[in-house]
Amino acid sequence: MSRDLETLSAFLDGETSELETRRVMRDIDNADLDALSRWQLARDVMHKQPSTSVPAGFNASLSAALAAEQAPSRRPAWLGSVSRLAVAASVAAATVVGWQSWEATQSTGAAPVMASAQDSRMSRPFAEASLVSRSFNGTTPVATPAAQVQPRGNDMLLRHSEFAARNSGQGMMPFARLVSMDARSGAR
Amino acid sequence: MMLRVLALSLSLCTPLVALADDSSAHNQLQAMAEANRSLNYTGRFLYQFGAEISTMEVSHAVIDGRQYQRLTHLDGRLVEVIRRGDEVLCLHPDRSLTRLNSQQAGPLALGDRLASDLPEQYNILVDGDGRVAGRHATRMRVAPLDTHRYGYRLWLDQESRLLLKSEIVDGSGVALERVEFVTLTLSPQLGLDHFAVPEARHEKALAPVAESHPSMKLAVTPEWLPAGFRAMKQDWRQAATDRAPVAARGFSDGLAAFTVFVEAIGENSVEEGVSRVGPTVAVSRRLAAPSGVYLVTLVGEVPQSTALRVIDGISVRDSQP
Repeated sequence: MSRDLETLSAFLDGETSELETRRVMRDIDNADLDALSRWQLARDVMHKQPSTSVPAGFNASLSAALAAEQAPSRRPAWLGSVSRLAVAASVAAATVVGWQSWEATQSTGAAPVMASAQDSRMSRPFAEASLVSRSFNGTTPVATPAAQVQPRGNDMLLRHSEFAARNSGQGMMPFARLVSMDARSGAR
Repeated sequence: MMLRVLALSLSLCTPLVALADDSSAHNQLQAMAEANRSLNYTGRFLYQFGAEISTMEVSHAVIDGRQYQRLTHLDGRLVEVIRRGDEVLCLHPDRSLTRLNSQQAGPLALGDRLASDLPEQYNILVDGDGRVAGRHATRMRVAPLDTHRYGYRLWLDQESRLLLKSEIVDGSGVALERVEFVTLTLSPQLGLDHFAVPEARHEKALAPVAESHPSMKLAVTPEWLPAGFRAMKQDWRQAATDRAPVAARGFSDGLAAFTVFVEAIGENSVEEGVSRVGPTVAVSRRLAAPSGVYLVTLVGEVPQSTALRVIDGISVRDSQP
């Protein structure tokens, strides 16, 4: 990897400055693309990385944030599941990244401040629907969104994408959206 | 063929070239529309929505006057959308295939819309120069004039006029969705075999519903729409014969779009609520009408407040006397 993980993770979270974003985009290489993909699969990574490696305060505040978000979860089952999955993955990614950075700073003796970083990530605007249906303490089994996503919902997404492609002036863009969500939901 | 982007501190930026005259911006977009439609190209791009990133590959070619396009998800599960002329197919991870409705006109590129019929709810500005995928680009901004829709930032290749990068930006300047080419090859050798449809395990299409079906008599009417949004034709279809048909009615302002779905449901066990993924919002509400109980679901790329206001004003009527 050509660049430090922190910048790349900030980029993943849309938290880089415009200058940094340009720099990341300019220098992005296959290793970086791999890393980005890997973080999306961070759920799996989580299983292999015992969460006890994460500072206790970090885990507690994350769990609290998740619990708080979980309460009012009345939502359409289908997109909800996609969303939950997406968010579970993003939170997991942040967690793993946090864990990695923490380990890195640990070795240089710097104090970890991941909990507050995590808080700010959770409050980003597009994390608004970020309800997560599991905790990272290992007490709750991992949700299995694939089984929960209803085909009905995917049909709606298909139909909306089709309509949007034809009428929204967004060209094939709605299909990119569809492809991405379909790949993530694994509903079929 | 693609658009959207992220704006990190966009809201703080002052318009750099607000002076750029309309005709210049207009010409740029027309050139972009033409390039996206007529050029052969292949490339890889990042697709980011919310905190998710996908890598995808796109190929586009015009062969015998017909447009071919293939969109492939590169990481994780394999999903593809293949367009062959008017035909659009979606291949799912389990290799099943959905044939999307293709009876109507083919997809219009963003630029077609903007160039031919610029929605008056948006302002278009040329914003300066930039660089994407190692190429020199012209930055443009499509700014909404009210809070009922999202804005866009576009990067156009200076050599070919292709859209290299685009972002959807919310009112506070945060990018909700981004497409950004990392590599782009112009004029590759692409033959018909490149757009061949792989063997699918099974195929399905959303079936139209017979005119005689009782659902056909439902009329879905919004009491309130954001300025500039127009209703498209209502469309009843069902995913499978053992499922109730779901009505859909699309609305668009020329750039943004949302679709309202209505299905008859029983009294019990339906989840209502709101979800968001990137710029896409989904809102579900139960609606009791004289003719029965319905679940109304709005799916689209509009702000949540807009979606909620629209869905609160949806009424379902049985159009029978």
